Amino acid sequence: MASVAMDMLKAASDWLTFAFDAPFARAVVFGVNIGGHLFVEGLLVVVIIFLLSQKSYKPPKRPLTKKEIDELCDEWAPEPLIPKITDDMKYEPPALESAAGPHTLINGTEVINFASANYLGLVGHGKLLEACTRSLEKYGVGSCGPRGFYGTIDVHLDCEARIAKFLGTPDSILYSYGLSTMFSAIPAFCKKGDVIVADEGVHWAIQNGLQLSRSTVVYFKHNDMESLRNMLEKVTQENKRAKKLRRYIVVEAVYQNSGQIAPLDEIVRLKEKYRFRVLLDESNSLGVLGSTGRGLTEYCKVPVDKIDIITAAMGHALATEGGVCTGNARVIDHQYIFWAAA
Amino acid sequence: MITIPYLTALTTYFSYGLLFVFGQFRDFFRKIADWWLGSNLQGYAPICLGLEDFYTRRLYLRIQDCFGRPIASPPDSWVDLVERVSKDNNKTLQRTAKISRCLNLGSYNYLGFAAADEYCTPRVIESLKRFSPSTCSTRVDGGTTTLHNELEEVVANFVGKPAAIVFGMGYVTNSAVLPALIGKGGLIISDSLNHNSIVNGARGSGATVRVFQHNMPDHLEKVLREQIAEGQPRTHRPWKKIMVLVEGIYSMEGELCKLPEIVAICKKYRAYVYLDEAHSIGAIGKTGRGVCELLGVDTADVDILMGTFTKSFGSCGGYIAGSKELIQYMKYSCPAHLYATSISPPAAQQIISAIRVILGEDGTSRGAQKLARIRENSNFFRSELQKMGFEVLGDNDSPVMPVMLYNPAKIPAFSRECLKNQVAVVTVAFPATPLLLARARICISASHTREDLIKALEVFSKVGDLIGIKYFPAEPDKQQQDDGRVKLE
Repeated sequence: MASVAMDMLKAASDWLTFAFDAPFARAVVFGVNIGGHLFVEGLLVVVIIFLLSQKSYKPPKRPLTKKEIDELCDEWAPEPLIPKITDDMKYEPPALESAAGPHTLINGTEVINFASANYLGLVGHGKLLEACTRSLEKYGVGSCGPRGFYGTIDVHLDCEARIAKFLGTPDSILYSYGLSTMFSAIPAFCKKGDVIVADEGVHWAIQNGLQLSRSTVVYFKHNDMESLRNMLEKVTQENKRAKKLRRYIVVEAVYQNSGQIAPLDEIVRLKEKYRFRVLLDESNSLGVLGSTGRGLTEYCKVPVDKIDIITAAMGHALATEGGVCTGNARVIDHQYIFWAAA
Repeated sequence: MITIPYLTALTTYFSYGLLFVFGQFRDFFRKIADWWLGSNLQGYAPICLGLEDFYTRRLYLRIQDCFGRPIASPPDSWVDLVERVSKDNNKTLQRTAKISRCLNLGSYNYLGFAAADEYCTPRVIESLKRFSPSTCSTRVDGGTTTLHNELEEVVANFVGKPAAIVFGMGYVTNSAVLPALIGKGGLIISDSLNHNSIVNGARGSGATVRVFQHNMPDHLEKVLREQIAEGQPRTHRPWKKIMVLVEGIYSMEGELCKLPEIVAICKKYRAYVYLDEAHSIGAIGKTGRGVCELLGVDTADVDILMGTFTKSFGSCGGYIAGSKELIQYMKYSCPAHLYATSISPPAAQQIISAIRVILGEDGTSRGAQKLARIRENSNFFRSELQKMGFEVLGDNDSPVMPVMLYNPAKIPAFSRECLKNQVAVVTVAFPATPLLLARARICISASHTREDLIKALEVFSKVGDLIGIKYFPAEPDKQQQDDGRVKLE
């Protein structure tokens, strides 16, 4: 069996050798000996070229025709602009008929007011009203322009200097709306890639600011220093290239949502150990805590230059509208330029 | 569409290039100085790294004295500017006690309500005594007074919608309302030159944002058709809702929006229209009701009307006007209503009184006079500037007129020269405008008299010749030379 296969193989190879050595296959062209194998190679090359020149199969692209787009546009139906109005959406708050002081008038009856954040009772104070009347007669109501374009009145600058002197910081910046103070201050300092460790129970404006800043935000348990320490440890471990990374802790002095006071001396100790900057929102503590009303720094006996950024909405104890942002010199320089140029 | 001559474009690029190179040199020396002196940051990362604030430090600070000028009087037609000096080459500025009285062409005082007004101010002081400067609470927690309710009714009547809601600050109105109206799965199509507050609100809402070319209804239609046909990105599901954001007067161009065409397109494709009338409410239209009145668009066709009170009414705050259900929903869901202190009662009274004056309900015709005067003043000033050869943007009737400067060196030159001649102007550059298209923006007020405007024109002519910003030939009928110009948008 094997010998028959061997014989057949030998016969086939003999035939092949003969074919390749056939007379016509021994032509000499331009002095080059051409053997028969060249014809097989030539055939293969032709086959390869033929295959390469074929277009690969792509399903044909058919963009939508005008008629089809018209049909789609006709069929499309939007949702209503607002969802259906339910009964609890129809709630109307009571309308005050006098100033929001400790006693106020609603529907003709005098009621005791536990709703306004009028902590020092400055609503309706004679001196305030006098000063406001004088400045209304001198300056009118509005500033008719942003701070960069003739909207800066000398009283704005005086007020900033006065607040800074009161708190013990080099300078401060006024904002015209309390809510926007925090959610403008945070994106000014925290950019994409920075790390922020914030308390879980911060109020909406801070949460919005954290979202707008696009930094990495890590929350710790509400007012729990152990949890804060763990988070700081974790964040420092994870980010070894700490040189270029800006890190912030965001807390409120007196939490709007729960009423607890943050233990500032603990926080400052942790911040110095792990090299984080602290952003403190003193909306509910300015004018309230501390023996002279300077806020949480006085209450906890922490020197104010250890806190990097302090913001406060003035619509609480100070009985006015707007907000203020203050801090140490480098921070205020940056904030001023960023916000003036923005 | 602004066409910039070749030579000007080249010189502008060259100037910016030179400033950039100088800035880099100074940064390099600063780095060496810092290394030499040793840093005192003790392991904290610096607040600003590298090129993040390069523009602010090296370009903006050089001309800082042209911005943020403090005033010592109300921002009326003539204003007292406080002079400032700098001892360290414009890095910091200190106030002096000197005051110079200048013609104010920069404040948004369209109807002249900036200073104390004979009808408004007594009423404002009365409401100050009654309600005190602040309510210290949010609208839902005892911060709503009868004054707030009255204000919302008056605003709704004035604008021509069933109901309105008022917030304490104009910028926040846009940023807080857009996320409440539209969210993920929705599409926002906004004009390419919309204001920063609209852009922020659109980004914060989470919806997909597409842009259409400034004031071109054809392009808007094209974008709408494409987007409806394609659906949401990647899943191709149909969009939940589509909102188109436009402004009444664009503050950097002075142009009016092409509202009738845009509203027609949005009706055809069932998209919602959001109109921001910050600069146009109170300033244009026969009775001051804004761009809808001027262009003859029915207010029922525009779904959401937004505006601010800072400009024409001399107060502060913003409003949203729409159907009763929309406003009820806003009061339930908008965070600026639920968490922010309510608008100051004296400011609210100022708005109510200003609207009464405009409508003539105070018994005089001062409102109608103011409206007529601002229209006359704007048209007169614009035509005179164009006759002198300045390149002025904007449509007729619009009180905002930008004058092109282009080169970065002309910005402080124009501002300082005008100040020497007792005229206060506002100059705007990057990033509020594109890099090459720096301009000076003039805002006309109803309290400017004809003599004021003529004086301003004389000063402009003198300064314009000195600086070289008369890009067009000074002829009575405007002729544009089309050869050798580069079209820029």
